[in-house]
Amino acid sequence: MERDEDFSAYASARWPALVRSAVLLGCAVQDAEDLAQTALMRCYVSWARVVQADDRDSYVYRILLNAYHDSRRRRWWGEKPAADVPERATADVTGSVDAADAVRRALGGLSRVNREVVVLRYYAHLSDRQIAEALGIAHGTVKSRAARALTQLAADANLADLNGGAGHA
Amino acid sequence: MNDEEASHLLERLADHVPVRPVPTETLLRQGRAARRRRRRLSVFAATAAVAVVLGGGAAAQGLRSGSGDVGQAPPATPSTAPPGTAATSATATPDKPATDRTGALPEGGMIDCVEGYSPDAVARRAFAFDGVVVAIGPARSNRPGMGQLDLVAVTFTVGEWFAGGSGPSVTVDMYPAVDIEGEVAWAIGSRLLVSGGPRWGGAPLDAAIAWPCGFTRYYDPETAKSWRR
Repeated sequence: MERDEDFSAYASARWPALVRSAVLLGCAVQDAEDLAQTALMRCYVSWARVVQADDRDSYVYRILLNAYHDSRRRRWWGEKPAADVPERATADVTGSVDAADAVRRALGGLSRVNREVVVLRYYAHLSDRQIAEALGIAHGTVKSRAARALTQLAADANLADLNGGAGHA
Repeated sequence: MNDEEASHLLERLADHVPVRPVPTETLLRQGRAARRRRRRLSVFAATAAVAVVLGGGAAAQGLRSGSGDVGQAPPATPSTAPPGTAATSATATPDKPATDRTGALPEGGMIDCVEGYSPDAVARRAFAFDGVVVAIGPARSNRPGMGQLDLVAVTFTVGEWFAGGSGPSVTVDMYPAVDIEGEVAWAIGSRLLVSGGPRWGGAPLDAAIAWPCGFTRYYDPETAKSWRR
């Protein structure tokens, strides 16, 4: 079936980036895989719409983020309320790699909205227009959030040992 | 920190995320099942709407013979609370209620309807009210062997009855707030204008189901005015 073949090819191409994006957003690896699976399954259901979308990637990332927000909302209902949803305890997927842990801690210091912009811009490599579409925010808001996030990351103590060589390694 | 440095930082974490192969077969199986559910929902929604329309027709005949009451538009009852008060008193969840949206609740093109929305068409519904969502639970109108719609029971604090009821609160079945793409259309605290009828016939609030297709909408004063009769 052509639909299944097209979808399978797309899912194979996007799966690693979607899983890793979800981890960068703050999910544990298992949760990230569940999230990517949910997003891709929703894409399959709406495949005709995905195919017709002017910008397929921003559409798919929008679905991923909606699923992510939905999962956090469900978790909130299931647990006692808190001002901020804390980072979940995760398996140490980075092993002993201090740099990866430092990046994870630094990302955890960002607000949720700024973190989403950072992940979409600097990992998923979506354009500001695509990010605005995926997050449902104004183009200018994407720029201002990205600038604030970079300023915060540059000053983050967790990255003090990395920033000097981050762009040169 | 520049853009290149930021990308490099994120790659440092991403590179250490183990990713197993894409579960293609599972995705296809789940996707096909979800599509089947979606098609079934569409058919059942149309069936339910037909049932309500037929119920309304029977009620009209009953009214002509002086015996029926289904579908009759009862006189509007006085508000039990000012609508504005209701809207601001029930924001009790982490979800941000849809307070700045107007028009019909989004349905993602999933539901077929047998009648288009208009204020005149609302006047033909068995019940209509202005209320604030205060609780969401399992559907109440499904019956074994008669089709299971993917619904939730939604309890409202009623600010104003336009038709079909008079109590301070009411529970009706509705399509879920989250559509297939994960968009949250409404939540606890959302103020909606709701109209519909008894799913299987009977009194206006028997197995009450809120009609989709524009018959259940975000509150706005102008629409509320057009619903008063």
